[in-house]
Amino acid sequence: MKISAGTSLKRDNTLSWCYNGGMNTSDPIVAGSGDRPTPFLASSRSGMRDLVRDLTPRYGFFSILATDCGGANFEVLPAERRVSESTWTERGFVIRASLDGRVAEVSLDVLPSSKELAVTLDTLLAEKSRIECLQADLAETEDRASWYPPATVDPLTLQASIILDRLDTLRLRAVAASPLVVTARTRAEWVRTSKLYLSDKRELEQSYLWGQAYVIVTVRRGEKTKQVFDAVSGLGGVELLDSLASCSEGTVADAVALLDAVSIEPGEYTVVLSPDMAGILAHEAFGHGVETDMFVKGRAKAAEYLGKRVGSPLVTMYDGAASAEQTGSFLFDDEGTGGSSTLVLDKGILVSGISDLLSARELGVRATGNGRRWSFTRKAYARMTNTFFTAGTSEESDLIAGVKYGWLIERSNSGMEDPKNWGIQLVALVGREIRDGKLTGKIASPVICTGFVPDVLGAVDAVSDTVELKGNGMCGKGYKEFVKVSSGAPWMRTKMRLG
Amino acid sequence: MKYDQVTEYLRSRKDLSDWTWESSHEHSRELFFTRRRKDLSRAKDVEKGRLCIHADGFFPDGKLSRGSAVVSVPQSILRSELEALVDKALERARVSPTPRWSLPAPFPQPALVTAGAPAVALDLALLAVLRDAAFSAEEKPTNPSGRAHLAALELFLTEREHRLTSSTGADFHWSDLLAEAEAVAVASPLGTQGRVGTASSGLDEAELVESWSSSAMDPQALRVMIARLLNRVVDRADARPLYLLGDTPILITGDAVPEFFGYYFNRLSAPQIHMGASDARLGDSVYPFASDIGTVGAGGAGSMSRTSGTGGTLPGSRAGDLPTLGFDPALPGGTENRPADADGFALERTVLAEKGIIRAFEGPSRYASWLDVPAKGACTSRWVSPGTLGDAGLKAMDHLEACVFSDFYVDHASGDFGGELRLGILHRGNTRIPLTGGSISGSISQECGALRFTETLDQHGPFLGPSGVLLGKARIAAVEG
Repeated sequence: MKISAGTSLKRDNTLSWCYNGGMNTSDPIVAGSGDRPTPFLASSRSGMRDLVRDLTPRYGFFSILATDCGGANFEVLPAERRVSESTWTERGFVIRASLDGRVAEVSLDVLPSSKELAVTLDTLLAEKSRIECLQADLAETEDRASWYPPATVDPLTLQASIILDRLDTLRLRAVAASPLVVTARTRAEWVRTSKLYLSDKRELEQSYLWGQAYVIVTVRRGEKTKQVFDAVSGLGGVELLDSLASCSEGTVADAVALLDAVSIEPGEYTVVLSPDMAGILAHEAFGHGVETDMFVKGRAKAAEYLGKRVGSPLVTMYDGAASAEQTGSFLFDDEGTGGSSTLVLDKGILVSGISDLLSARELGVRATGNGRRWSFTRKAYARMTNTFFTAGTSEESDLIAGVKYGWLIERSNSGMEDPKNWGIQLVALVGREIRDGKLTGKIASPVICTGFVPDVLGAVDAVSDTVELKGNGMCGKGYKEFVKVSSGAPWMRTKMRLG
Repeated sequence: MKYDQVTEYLRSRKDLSDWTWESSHEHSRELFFTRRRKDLSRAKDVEKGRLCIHADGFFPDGKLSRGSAVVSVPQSILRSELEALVDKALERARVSPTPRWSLPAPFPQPALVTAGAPAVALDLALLAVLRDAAFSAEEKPTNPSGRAHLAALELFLTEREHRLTSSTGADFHWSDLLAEAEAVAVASPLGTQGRVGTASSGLDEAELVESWSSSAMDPQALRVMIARLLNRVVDRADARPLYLLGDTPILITGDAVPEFFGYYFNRLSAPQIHMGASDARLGDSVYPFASDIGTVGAGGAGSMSRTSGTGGTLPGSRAGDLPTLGFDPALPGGTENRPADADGFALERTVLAEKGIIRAFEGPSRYASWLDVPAKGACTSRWVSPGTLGDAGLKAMDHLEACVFSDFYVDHASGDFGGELRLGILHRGNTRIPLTGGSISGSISQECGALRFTETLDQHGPFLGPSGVLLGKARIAAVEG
C-alpha cells in the first residue's frame, strides 16, 4: 500500500471499518456485507456468555477470546501444484481470569463447564510458595463493536484451480524472463481471521481477510546459485495477484545481476534505504524497542528516553492497527482492547510506547491495543501492528544524487532487534554502489547492515515523499511468538556499517 | 469429534483414493516471570489435526496422476463440517495433479513409541522444579561475579500425544515431553553497578537472550544453560567493540551452528532438488563449488590443503573436514522425534552425506518417486558427525569464538552467511578478550574446502552436531578500526 505525502493517517480516514470503541451502545455495528460470525463463533457465543456470567463474580475479572481462523496456501512449482491449509489456521478459546490481582489463562479447544473451568483456574491462581506475583487491575470500560469489512473476491471460496492457473501464468512469465532461471515458484496465502471477545463489559467481534503472495526465482550460472523473491500483501482477496504480476520481471533481473555480485568491503557508508529496508529499520529500531512489556522487564533502553531525542528531526514514526490498512490491521487486539494509532517518534523525539494490557496497567499508561498472541494457545505480549516512518519532502532521485560514495540498499531479507543495547541487524539481498550521485551498476550481496540505533536515526538527512508498507513474513518476539505485522517507510538516507 | 470418529468417517468415504490423518494433543503448564516475580500462570489442553486427502486420476495424455491437499481439523469440528472440509480438500486435490505416486504399503507398526521422558503428572509443582533450578543459577558458584541476573524467564512443560493413521494401514502412536525455557539475562559493566548509563557512555547494562528445549524433564541441564548465559552476559557487559582481527580464524558456535549446517540439509532436500533449486546428485560432492575444493573423494578429512583469506595457512590445520550428516527419528535428546513422517513412511536413521559425498535425499517419498531415488522419508531430527578440531588444537590457535549472533543468516541457495555479533571471545594465547558489535560475513563457497568442525557435539533442540565450525575466510565489519 502506498500512502502519499500529506495523507492523513487518522484511523477514520484510512480504514474502511466501522468502530465505536468506548461508546455505550447496545447493538454491535456491522459494517460491510457478506461476512458474519463464523458458525463456530456464532454457536459459541451463548456458552461464552454463560461462563462470563457464572465466573465473573468468582474472580472479579473474567474474559474469553474465541478465535476461528482459516486459510489456504496455493503454490505452483515446476511439475507440481500444492494446496494446503495455512499455518495460521486455528480454532479455540483463551480464557483469562484475575483474582486479587494475580492473572491466569487457559487455552482450550472446547468450552468446559463453569465448574471444570473454575477448578483449573483456581489451581493456576493459587500460590502456595508465597512468591511475589504481579498485581494487575484488569477492570474494563464498556465497549461493544464489530468489524466485518466488505468481502472482495474471496479466494477461500473460489475454485482452487482458478488461483493455481493464475499463479502458474506468473511463474511461467518468470521462467521465460531469462535462460539463467533454473526454477521459479509462485505462492499465495489468504487467511480469514475471525475473533469474538466477551467479558462482562465488552462484546467485540471481527472477521477480515488478509493475504500475501510471492514470486521466488532461482538463477544459476556455473557453480553460482542465487535466489531472489518479491512479495505483495494486504487486506483483501484475489486482487492481490494483480499486484504480484508486476513483480516478476524485476525479480528475475535482480537475481541475474546477483550472479555477478561482489562482497562489500566492510565499513561505514552513507546508505540510501529502500522503503522495505527502512521499514524494517523502523520495526527493529523503535518497534520492538518501545514494546512496553519490555519496559516492565527492564529490557528496553527506550524507557530512559521518553521525551528525549533519539533521531533526526526528519524521523517520525507510527504504529497501530488503525494507522494504516495492511496485514497488521484489526478492530481489537487479543486482550479485547481496541486498536489505535500511536505516534512513537515525533520529529526525532520519543513520545510513546506501544502496550499490551498487563504492561499498560503496571506502568499506568494507555493500553494502545497492541496485546497480540501467536495463537489462542499462547500468551499475549506487546507487539507491533503496522509500523512505519512517515514521508518527508525529497524525491527518491535526490537522495541518490546527494551521495558522494555509498550504497543503495534494497530487497530486505530479515532483521533483528536489540532493545536493551540498541544494536540492530538488517540483512539485504541487494546493495547498489553509488558514486558521485549516480548508481554505478556494481552490486554487492548479501549486505549485513548494523549500527547503534540513535546513531543510525540521528544521521537521517533526507526522506522521500512517498511511504510504502508491506506485510509479508512474520514478526517474532526474540525467537518465537510470531504475529502478522506490516512495516514501511519512505526512501531514507543515513549512515550504517555494512559487511 | 474424537480421533477414531474422524478415522471411521474417512474410511466410509469411498471417493477418496488415499488419506493420512494425524493428530497431536498438547497438554501444558506455563509460567512467566519478571525477575523472580510471577506475572502469569497458564495451562493448555488443545488438539490439532492434519488431514491429507489424495485424489487419483489421469493427465490429458492418459498418464496416471495423483493430487493431494492438506486441511486442518480442529478438535471441535462437527460431523457436517468435516464432510464439507473433506469435500473441499478433495476438490483441491483434484486440481493439483502430479505424476502418480503411492503411500507406503501396510507394514508392521510399533504400538507405542515414547520419546524423551516417560509420562509425568503435569502440574505447576513440576514447573516449580524447573523454576528453582533456573533461579539457583543466579547464586554462587555459577554466577561468581554476582553482576548478572535474570531479567525475565518463561517456562513451558508440555506433554504431547501423537497419532497417525493412513488408508494404507499405517497406525502410529507416540508421545513425548517437551521442556522449554526462554531466559533474559542482564549484567552491569565492571565497576559501574549503581551508576546510570547513557546511550554512549558505555555504562549500560548488557543483555543476552537464550532459548532452551529438552525432550526430558532435566532441571540440571536448564541450570547449566542459565549459568552459561549469566557468564556470557557479564562478558558482553565488559566487551570491547569488535575491531579488525586480520587473519584470525573465526569459530562460530551456539545457535548459529544448526543454521550453518542448514545449507547442507537444504541441498539434500528432495523437494529442493525436484524443483531445481538444488542441483545435488547422488554420489556427487555436497558442494557445488568443485573449483574451490578440488576433487572431493573418499579421503575424508585431510584431503586438501588451503590458505586463509590473506594468504596465510590456517593455523593448526592444512585441510578441512568433509561433512557426514543425516537424520535420526530417534535422535538422543531430540525434540522433534517421530517414528514416521506425515505420509506414514516409517523413518530410520539415515546418512545423507558421508565424508562430503551425497548418499541419500531427505523428503516426502513422493519426491523420491519422481526423482527415481530410494525413499528415505521426511525428518527434521538432524545430526552431523564430529569433526577433527579438538580442544587442544583450538587452545593452540588464536581465534575469535563467535558465541552469540543477533540472528545468524544463511542463504541456502548461495551459501552466503553473516550476522551481527552480540558476543565474541577473542582467544589469544592464554588471554580472552570479549568483543561485541559489528558483523561477520562470508560464503560457504569460499570456505568449504577448509571448514573445520569441532570434535565436541552440542544439542540444539532437534539438532545434534559439532559445537563449533571454524572459518578461515570470513570478513569482519569492525566497530573500531
